Amino acid sequence: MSFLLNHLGDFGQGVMVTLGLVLLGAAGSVLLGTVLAALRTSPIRTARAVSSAYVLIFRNVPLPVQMVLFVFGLPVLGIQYSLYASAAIVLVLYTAPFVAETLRAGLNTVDRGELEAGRALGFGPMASLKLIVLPQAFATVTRPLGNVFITMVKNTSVAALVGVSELTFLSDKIAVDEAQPFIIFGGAALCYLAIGLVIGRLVSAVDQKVAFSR
Amino acid sequence: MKRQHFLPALAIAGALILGTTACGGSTPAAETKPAQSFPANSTMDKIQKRGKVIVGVKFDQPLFGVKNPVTGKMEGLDIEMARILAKDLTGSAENVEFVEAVTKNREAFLQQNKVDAVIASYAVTDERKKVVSFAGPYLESNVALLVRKDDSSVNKPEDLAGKTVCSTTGARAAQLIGAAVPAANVVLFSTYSECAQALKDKRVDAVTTTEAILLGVQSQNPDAYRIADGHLADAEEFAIGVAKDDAAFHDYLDQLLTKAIADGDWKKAYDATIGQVKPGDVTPPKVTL
Amino acid sequence: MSTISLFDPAGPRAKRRHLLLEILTALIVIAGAYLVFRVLYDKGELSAAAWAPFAEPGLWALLGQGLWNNIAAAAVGMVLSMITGCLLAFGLVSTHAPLRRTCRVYTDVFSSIPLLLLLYFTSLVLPNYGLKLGDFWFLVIALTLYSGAVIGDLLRSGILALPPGQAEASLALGFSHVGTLRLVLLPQALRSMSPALVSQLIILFKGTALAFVLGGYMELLRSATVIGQYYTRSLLQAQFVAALGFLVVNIALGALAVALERRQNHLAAQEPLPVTAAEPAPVPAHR
Repeated sequence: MSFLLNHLGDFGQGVMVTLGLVLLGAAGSVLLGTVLAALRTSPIRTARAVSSAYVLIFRNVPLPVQMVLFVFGLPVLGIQYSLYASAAIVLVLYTAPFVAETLRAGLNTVDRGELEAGRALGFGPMASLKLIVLPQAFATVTRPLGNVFITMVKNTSVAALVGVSELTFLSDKIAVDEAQPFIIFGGAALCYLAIGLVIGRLVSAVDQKVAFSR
Repeated sequence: MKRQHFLPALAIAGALILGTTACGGSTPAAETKPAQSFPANSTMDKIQKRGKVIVGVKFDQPLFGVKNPVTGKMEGLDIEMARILAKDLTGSAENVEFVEAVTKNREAFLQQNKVDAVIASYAVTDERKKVVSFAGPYLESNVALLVRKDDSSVNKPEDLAGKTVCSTTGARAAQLIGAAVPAANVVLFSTYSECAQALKDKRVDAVTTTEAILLGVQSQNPDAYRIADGHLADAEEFAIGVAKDDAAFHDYLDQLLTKAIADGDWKKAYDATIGQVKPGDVTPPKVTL
Repeated sequence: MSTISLFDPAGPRAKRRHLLLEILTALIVIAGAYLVFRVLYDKGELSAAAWAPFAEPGLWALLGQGLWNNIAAAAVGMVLSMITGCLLAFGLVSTHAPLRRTCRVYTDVFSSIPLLLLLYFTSLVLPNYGLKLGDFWFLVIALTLYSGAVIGDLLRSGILALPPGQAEASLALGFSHVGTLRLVLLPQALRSMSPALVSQLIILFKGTALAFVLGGYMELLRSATVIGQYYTRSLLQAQFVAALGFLVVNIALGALAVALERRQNHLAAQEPLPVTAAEPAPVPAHR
């Protein structure tokens, strides 16, 4: 088992990188997803069209394909980031449509009366969104959103395709070097499980906190 | 060099009988009259009985083993070597079945006898020698560096300190650069074309692997890349991998390669593949493994 | 977005402003697209040389074959994971506690592990078992392990969402537990969960692109990469075409999912009201 100790440092680094991607991905996709969902409600047809087109394309092109195109294709256009940053950006670009779709379902549950009351009280559209609609929408969809994030944790592994030293990439390298696939991959699986469980707990806690606002 | 002709009289008789039944084996493409007969249960005999050779090759390594995306035909030096083998054993160069062998599973393929031999840009290393047996080599090539044409700062491996260099996961070159220039940042992608693209994009400063492969990339993009003068390693040997304990087949292959080099078959194969990007004379390798 | 309306109906001034903004947005989009084309053109990515390989029909045959391989792996994976999922679902709703717990553990574990990790695992481990499995089966087995768990969970929630009267009635009629599951509950759960199942099929299909790392299976992304290896000027072009291929198939599958969901809602609207007192539930006569 000594090889396990030798590689504990690598494993730790892999977990850190994965966690970093998860956090960046979650934050970014919530922001972008909210913007996308909000654009869908706009009276400006082109804005709605752009948002719908974005969701259609970025949801339906597989993540590995997006990752590869972004890392190798975009530099041609002059846009080039480090591998880590690129992986995080692609993760955000890919997960945002799912957040947007989940939010859309939440938006639909907000009662019309709330909006009408808000308008009667003088709230403009941005204020309505920010103070009335979005908080309630988020509260309704905490669990589905949690599922999106757990899926995103799994999707961080795709960064391995472009050489980012995250958990899956490293465990494959170590497993090949040490020829001990079961133990190494088992360890990596446990790490992913742990991360997923933690997120699940967080989501449950948040869900309970916002339960009475529904 | 060992020769095959130590057959006892009994084996000769048995081989003659087997020789006549060999034609009734699985359907080969053309004539199947073998030039030699081999001891029963040897790999050579198995191949003859089967009527075709099963070789593990790369499907995506231009100049070595690649499936032409347009025509679907296999091309490359490894392929030509396999055809020489098929011709010698079964009488026709077409009696080959190519199985895709990626870097990761080359040893496994031999250990599990999934293929008769692995000819897949297989470089000889001490670790690999522990697990498989190498016959040949059939090619010697340096491990070189590919850089951008307008980048004059990288001319030898030491220049890479502090810069980024790219190779593929599992490639020997990746380990070599890590050992030779620890101050270099190594990035690993799955294919050389991705490394080349990253080089063009200035994401990395150099790509390192076998010179022959780099030449192939450079010849398709002469304005973008050039090969640096300094080598990372000299005379990397590419050989045919066979099962570790199959001494008879190993010796047979050594003999076959020596013959091919002597009577020009090797040169023909080389000229048709790697020779296209590296014109000029080449000294055939000495079969020493 | 039919139910939500943040804005009052637009008056004349607002209408003019909206029109202005629409034109502005459209102009920005067009300008952006033009910029992208310009840069691509300057860098030679739109040139004939880079796209030359695509004039060969053989190349398209390779790409088509690659896409077909994705579809084949996804289809076989879907069938196998449906079977696994059904079995798992049986285990998950079983009254036999150890069985239920084991299935629960399996489901939780395999729906949390990334597909790529599973793929690496199957490609490293399975060859040692000497089975002459090709990379196709590494991919399919990984897909099945992963998807089976997800489908099992889906079907479990589908079964639990059915009105309890269904199970009670069938047990009263003399069906065994397994028979109830198999003949009464599972078919209904399958029907009601069909949109989610098609979504899972889409996820499966997207997952087949990961086989690109295995190197042995010629699926679409890998075919594009091989084209890029052979014609090193055309890597991006090939990847772009591959992206288009995936996009088209996924959009088609997505449309299928939406159509199924609509049909499901339509059927659900015709579903009878929950059973009251002694009246038996009328069985829907249509399919």
